[in-house]
Amino acid sequence: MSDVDEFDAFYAATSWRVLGQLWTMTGSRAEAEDAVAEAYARAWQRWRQVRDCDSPEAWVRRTASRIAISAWRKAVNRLRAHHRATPDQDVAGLGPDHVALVHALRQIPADQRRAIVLHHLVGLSVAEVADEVGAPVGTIKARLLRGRRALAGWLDDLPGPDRTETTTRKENGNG
Amino acid sequence: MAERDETGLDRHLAVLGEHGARIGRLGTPEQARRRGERRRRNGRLAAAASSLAVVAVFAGVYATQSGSGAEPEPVASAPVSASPSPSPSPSPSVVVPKVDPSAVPGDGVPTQDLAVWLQATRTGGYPLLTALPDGTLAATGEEAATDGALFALVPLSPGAEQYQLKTGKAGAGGEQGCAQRDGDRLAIVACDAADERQRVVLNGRAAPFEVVLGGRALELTGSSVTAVAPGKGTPLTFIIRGQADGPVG
Repeated sequence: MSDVDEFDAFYAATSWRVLGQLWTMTGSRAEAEDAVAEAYARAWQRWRQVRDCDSPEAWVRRTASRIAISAWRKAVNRLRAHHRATPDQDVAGLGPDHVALVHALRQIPADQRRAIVLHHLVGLSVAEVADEVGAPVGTIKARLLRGRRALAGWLDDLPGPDRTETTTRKENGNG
Repeated sequence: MAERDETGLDRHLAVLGEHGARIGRLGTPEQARRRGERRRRNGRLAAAASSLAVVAVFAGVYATQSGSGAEPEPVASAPVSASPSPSPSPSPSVVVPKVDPSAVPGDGVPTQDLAVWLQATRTGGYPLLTALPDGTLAATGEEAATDGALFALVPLSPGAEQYQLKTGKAGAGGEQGCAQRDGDRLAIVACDAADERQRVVLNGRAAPFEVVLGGRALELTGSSVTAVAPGKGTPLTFIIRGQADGPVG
């Protein structure tokens, strides 16, 4: 399989999942799309190194997260204005409970949101989150704790999950 | 302390992740590669420019120290165009076939565990097949797509080329329905593998396919779907949107 075919197959298999994770992480469709597109371009730029790493998908997600965070730092005010302008479009089709969760996520600091998404959506362990974020395990635990506390008010209002459901995302290759 | 999913957060975030994947738009892999190639070229140019700058600095230092007093030659620089020439914008009446990176690869036929959209990638507006809350089939745009637009293509037997088109998400009763053509009526009903009206055949060697349901081809236009003679249906592409609810088949 050529590099092109290999990259295209990788893109087709993973890009939508990474995009969903970045959207949840950033709360902005435009930011997520830009960051993910740029991350895949960087992956192709050094494809031979990326494909040989432990998880190319994790590499792309980590790169996209950094791009998105960098964008936040550069243009916090612009992003806030953007968030105010787009949430209704971004959440169309979601139920009211999940719209509330989106808004709640937007209220917590970006580092807590990133830890929450990596642990609870991507399915990484605390140690893996620490490795991906480049922070000590204790810091990640604290971010998760604070993030969940901040979301607790919203979570109390949610109907309880189906406790018999088995989470299979890790087995589905979420880097 | 990091007990997983004690509040159902995993599950609710999974819904958000799937939603984000559904509403987001990415370019094609080709576009990603072109962008990566531009980064490679720009990186090489930047490296070359840095090398030139270093050489120029050393040359300047040498010239100053040697006291030659010669007038330095002005260095001419030409702007480098890094952006490709814009592609001609299509005429409004011409539909540009949509290439979706999430389209089912290979022959384009999804496995039965995948939740897919059936999208008209060569029709203006790129409508999708969707099941409405009242159980009828219709077409909708991407922006308005809900779980009703998710389907699973399930072969009648392993390896068979005849299928049932099941809903990708189970209904309130926990059961998945199947697409059925009853005369001109296209609807989601209880699955019955023996019912010819639920039989699906894909016409074409690779995606996009004409999808034939109960002997008639599906034609998607704007917000409606109709059953037309085979050969006159709308070519549809299967777009992967996640995992179908199980069990399927």
